Amino acid sequence: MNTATTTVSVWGRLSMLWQRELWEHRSLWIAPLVASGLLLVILAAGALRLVNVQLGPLQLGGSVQVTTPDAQVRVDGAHVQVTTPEANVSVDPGRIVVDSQDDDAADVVVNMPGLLVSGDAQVSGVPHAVPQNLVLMVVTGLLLSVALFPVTGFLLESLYADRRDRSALFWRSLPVSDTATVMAKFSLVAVVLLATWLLAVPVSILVIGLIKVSGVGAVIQLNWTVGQWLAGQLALLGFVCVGLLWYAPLAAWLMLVSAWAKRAPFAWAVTPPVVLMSLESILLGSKHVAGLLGSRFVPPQPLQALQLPQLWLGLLLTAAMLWGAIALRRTADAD
Amino acid sequence: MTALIQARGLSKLYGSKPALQDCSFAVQPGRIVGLIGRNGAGKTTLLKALLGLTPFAGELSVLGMNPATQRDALMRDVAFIADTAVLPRWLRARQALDYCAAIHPRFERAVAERFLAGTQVPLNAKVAALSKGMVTQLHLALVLAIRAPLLVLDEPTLGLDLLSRRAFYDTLLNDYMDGERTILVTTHQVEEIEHVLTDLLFIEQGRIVLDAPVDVLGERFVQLQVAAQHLQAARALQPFHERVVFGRTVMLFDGVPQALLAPLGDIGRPSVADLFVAQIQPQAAATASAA
Repeated sequence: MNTATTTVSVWGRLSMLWQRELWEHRSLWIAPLVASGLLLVILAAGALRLVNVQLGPLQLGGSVQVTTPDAQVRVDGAHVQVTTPEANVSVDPGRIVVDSQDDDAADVVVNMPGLLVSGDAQVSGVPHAVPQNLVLMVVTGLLLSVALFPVTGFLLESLYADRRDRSALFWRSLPVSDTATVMAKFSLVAVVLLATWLLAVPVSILVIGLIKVSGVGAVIQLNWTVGQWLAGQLALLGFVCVGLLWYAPLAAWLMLVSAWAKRAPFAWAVTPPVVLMSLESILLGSKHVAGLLGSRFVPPQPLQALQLPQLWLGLLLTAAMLWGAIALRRTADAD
Repeated sequence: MTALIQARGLSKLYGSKPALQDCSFAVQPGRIVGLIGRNGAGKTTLLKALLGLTPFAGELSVLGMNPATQRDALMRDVAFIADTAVLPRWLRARQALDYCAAIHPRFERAVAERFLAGTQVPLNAKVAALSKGMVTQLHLALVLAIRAPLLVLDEPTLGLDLLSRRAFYDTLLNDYMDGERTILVTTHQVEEIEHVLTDLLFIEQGRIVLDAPVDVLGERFVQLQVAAQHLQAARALQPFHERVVFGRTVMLFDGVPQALLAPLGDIGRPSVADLFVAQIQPQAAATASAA
């Protein structure tokens, strides 16, 4: 018997199983890329003054006092106080301009990030710079939130779509165990979210650069060291990792429903918790289920997370639900 | 020689409806077995049981493995087409090749590419954009490229035109069969694969009603076009099937020596299709012709 076989490495198989999911669910990688692209295009347009971009959340004030021969300007947080007999003062988040009434005197401009002063003025105080880590957090959070939509859709479809289009038998006719199928799909979520974190690294650097170039109202801390930046990124990575562990039961629930539902997996995923909450509320007047579910949606602080029994209980529940999904998958074509 | 497939008392219920009833048979290595039955006779259920895709009662061994408990290992040595029309619509032909090459240790990409080169299937096309026949060809290309000891085909040529069906069976015989591989195939087009098969398994209402090698069929079964004056004599030899064709009575005999039958009319070898019809409805046919 000709038993020539090519050896296929475990890693090669796993990456192909992931690849297969990315072929089918292209939004998993397209959505974060499109979101990044949109963000950068909008900021670049702002930098080129093509559009007027206001970064509301980044307009933190701080406390700055400017005294010129004509005017006195005090910026305290969001509060701006101008004491002036005859000068026009405009306060932008990025700069303060004192337009003297005396035509002979030069205007005074104070650029906020470094308190660079042009003109005759005395400046004191500390502008409240936006730490660049906040930008990292906002950018990473934004991209992760965008990725969560296709991820949720993917989980609901993962063990349902190929039963609906009757291709499940084709996939199951190849030597991939049901366990491998389920675990590859489940682990892909972690791959996608970690890749999104990785994508946010260059994107956030570009975002900071564009904000600085455009000076669109944000004051960004200039003295960021590589060490601070790295610490910020690692903190975010820790947050993502703990988030993955924390949200694992929700993902496993979606897969269990996906393996079980004959149709409308989304409705089946949402209905039981809603019914439970309503029943409890009506019959007992309490809100334990709602509280339990609500707390599951708020991830814990990374450093405390591993000591929380809820985290480990959640992982146990995850394992049980994945086991259920595998068992359901095994009998997927039994009808 | 140990059998490649060994089934003893294989049974399966869907609710209270029996899909398989006490099926026992063996398939030897190197054979091409036609599993022939009507729609709903239990063909697909039997194949699913063989491949560990559905639970069953009874004893079953495929390649020395129990499909119920060793499906994962079994799938490495079996290539299987369930129903050719169901490749996922989003899959591109090239992706299908990539996937099988990375997943299946017995997949030979070059074989699949050679087969596809002889078809109209573009490698970049998605399944959704292919005609039904092209989807079937893609699926066949994948399965033929899997050099597994056992190939299971469930209606492999459904939706293909005559030329493509021919080409498929030619490929199967020339490229795939090497005298050691084994094929189990179900089809509606019995006439087309009659010359390909080495063994027949007839299944009706979940039961195996005939299990015989093709080369003994000629010795065992005789078709007799009975001369009118010998009708009574022929019936006395207990044909298991009788029908009237163009005014002449045609009877089928099982195990009656040709020497006895030759004087009663023209004897010949029944086709597999004739045998099948006769085997699955001997009573009905006999009643009809007697009436």
